[in-house]
Amino acid sequence: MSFHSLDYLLFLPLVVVLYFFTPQRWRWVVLLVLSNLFYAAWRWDFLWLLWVSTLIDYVVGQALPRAQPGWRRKALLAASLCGNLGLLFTFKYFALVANTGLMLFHGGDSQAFEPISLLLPLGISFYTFQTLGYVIDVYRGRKEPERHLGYFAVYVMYFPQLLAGPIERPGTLLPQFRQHKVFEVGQAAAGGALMLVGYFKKLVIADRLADIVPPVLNQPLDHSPLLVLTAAVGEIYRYYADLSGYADIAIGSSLILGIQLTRNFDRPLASVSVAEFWRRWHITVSTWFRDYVYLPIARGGGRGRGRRDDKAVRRAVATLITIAIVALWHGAAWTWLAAGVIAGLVMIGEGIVRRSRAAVTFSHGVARTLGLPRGVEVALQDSLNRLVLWSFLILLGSMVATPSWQLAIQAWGRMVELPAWAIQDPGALLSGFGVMPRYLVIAIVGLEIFQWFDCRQSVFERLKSRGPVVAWGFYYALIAVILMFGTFDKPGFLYFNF
Amino acid sequence: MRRLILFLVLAAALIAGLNVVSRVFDDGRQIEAMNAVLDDTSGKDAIIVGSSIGGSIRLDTLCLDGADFFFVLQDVFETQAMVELVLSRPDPPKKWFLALSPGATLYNNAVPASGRSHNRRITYRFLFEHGRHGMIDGDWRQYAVTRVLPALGYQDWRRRFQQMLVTVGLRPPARPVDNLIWRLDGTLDPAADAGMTESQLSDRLTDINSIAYYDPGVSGRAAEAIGDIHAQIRAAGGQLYIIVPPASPQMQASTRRHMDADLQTLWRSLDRIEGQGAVVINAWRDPARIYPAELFVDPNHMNPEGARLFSRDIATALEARGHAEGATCPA
Repeated sequence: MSFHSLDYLLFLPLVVVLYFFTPQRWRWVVLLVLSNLFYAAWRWDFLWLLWVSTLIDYVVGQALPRAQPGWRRKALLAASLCGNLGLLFTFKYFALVANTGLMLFHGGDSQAFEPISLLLPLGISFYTFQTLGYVIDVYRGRKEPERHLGYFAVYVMYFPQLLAGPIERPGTLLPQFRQHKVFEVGQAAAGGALMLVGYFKKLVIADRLADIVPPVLNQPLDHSPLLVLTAAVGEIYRYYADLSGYADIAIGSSLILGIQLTRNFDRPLASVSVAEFWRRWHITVSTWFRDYVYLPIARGGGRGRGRRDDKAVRRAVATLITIAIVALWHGAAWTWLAAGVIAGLVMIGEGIVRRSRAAVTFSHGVARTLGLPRGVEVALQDSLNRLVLWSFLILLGSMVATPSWQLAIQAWGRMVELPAWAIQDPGALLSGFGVMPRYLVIAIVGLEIFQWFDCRQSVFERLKSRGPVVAWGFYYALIAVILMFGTFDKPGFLYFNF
Repeated sequence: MRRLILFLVLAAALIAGLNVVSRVFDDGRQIEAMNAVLDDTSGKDAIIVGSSIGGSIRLDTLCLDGADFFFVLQDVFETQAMVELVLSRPDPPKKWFLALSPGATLYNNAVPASGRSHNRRITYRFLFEHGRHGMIDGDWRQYAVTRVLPALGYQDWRRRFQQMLVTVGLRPPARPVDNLIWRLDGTLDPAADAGMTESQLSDRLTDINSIAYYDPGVSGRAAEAIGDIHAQIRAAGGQLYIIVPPASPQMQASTRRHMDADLQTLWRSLDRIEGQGAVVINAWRDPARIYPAELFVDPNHMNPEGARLFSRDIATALEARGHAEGATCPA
């Protein structure tokens, strides 16, 4: 079931009641049964996949410590990797590869054949990586295997993060299931408040942008450059509001049960570089790929070995591969892969400039010549970095929203015309903006202000300290805004395509 | 804990308050327009039910005194409930024309993935107003939402905000709804047919896939609903004519290419209902009969001239099968 369904609003209180009324030693049963129910409410016929993945990794996890170092351990790890990644590849990427092959076979004519389409089991990208991380940690000896199949299954299937993360590490989640939790009103209130913010992001902002943005980017030549540019930014914001909204609801739901999940977004759009953006966007995914893909490639022969140039090359290759995989993980499309490669190249470029003594000397030299104080110099550097980041994000936004390369290229071409339009017919630049409801602009500005305050000191805590009238008034207003300005005719979250 | 309970009670009071406000500022135009077309059905010989493609049928061409009672984006389950409603009223029509699109059995407006749950809630509100309080196809979700919050989301509240402005005199009263029944005028440019078809079919396939994702059993239940519509009409002494109007040449060709298996399933279920006494006229089953793009407004909807030509074909087909409709009607 989806978080923004009526089913979930009835399901969650049921879970809370059953969980806290059940003795601690049987709570894992409650979570396991209800998590399976949560998944089966969508499609019960894909439940077996979830269990196959769970059982493979449970068995491999049990066998690894007993296996002799050498080929037996590697074979066990390979079994887990092949099993999990094989299922993921089959369901998520096979259609992309097969359709591309068919298109090439038919001389590039995509209409000449019936495209292969496979139903993507919800959550497969998330539980696959969660369990893989567990097996790799056990293989590396960093984590003792979980002996209790029930707790392990709950770790994989825990409903708030089952469908779309956050991807949790065994060390952070498993111990929490064993701890005795009592219902705390304050914690539940914090969880509920976070859920409301998530619903606001999803229903008021993301789903409304979903109505407005794609039609503009799918017909870029019919719209002004400024509108196409705004739509590309809007697409990125839509992704942010949708994905982070989901994460807020997941974390908030879990918090009501007293189980803390990892924060997944840290105001990524306020980043000052592409590298920082990836660190603050989808944090649990980025850190997963950092630990299990980037670092093994970047370290190559091990820590500290190799010449400095070799290390730099390895780091660059690792960055490129990791970001390309992360992008392809976001969407099974060549446009996503291209976006990942571009992001990787920009990050490598950023890294080179950041570490370059010549660049630093040049920057200081220019600042001295112009008589700029250090603070202004840093601000200018940040502005330049932000310009690079937003250029990348606009590029990304137009790529992921359009169904074909041709349209993406048309959109870029349109945006490039912006200066010419600004000179020749500045009034025409604003045409088409009437489709954007004013309340949406106010909602986005409101969210940004909320987040600005929240990153300095939790808004929940600020409101709490001002008493129930202010705090409750704020959350009742939020509920009313969601019910009156939300969009309730949309399918699941963008995550469900991952 | 007492605070939590108080918070929840006040939240319930807030929702009740929104319920009241939404009723006070409801301009009622949509429901009023639906009531008007419902009132028009009593005492008529014939009626057209189903979705917006009902506009492809012209009862005047069939020399029938009929009423239009088809609504944009209505799914088969809602049509079933509407048929029940009309049959429950005095002097219902005897000849029922059910307009079905080839994708009709793949839609379920109850699923938010359809993007049409708003339509389901409007249908519920209309049915509630006429004292019909049952659920449509067991859809308790939209049923409950409509009960608790008659207005949900900006689509509903926008009208109420405008009505608030009307109430305080800042806006003139809104005009009555006049486009409830789609009988659209215009001509589809044959050159634009391919492009529009591609875009509309792509949207349709996305919708259908999304719905199937959440409700894989929709097709079977929709076929049952059509069977039930037939059974109800028959029990009331009426005759059901199931009409599958044509689409533009490009739309028919593309739909056949992309949805052939679904079409065959629908044709088979229509064959079964035909075996039970319904009359089925399916413009898609005769590949030789092509209706040119000029007879359409868009790839799915015929213009008045197209509807007239198609209705004459219906009359001819009915005459060939021994039904009197159309046979005695002057051209």
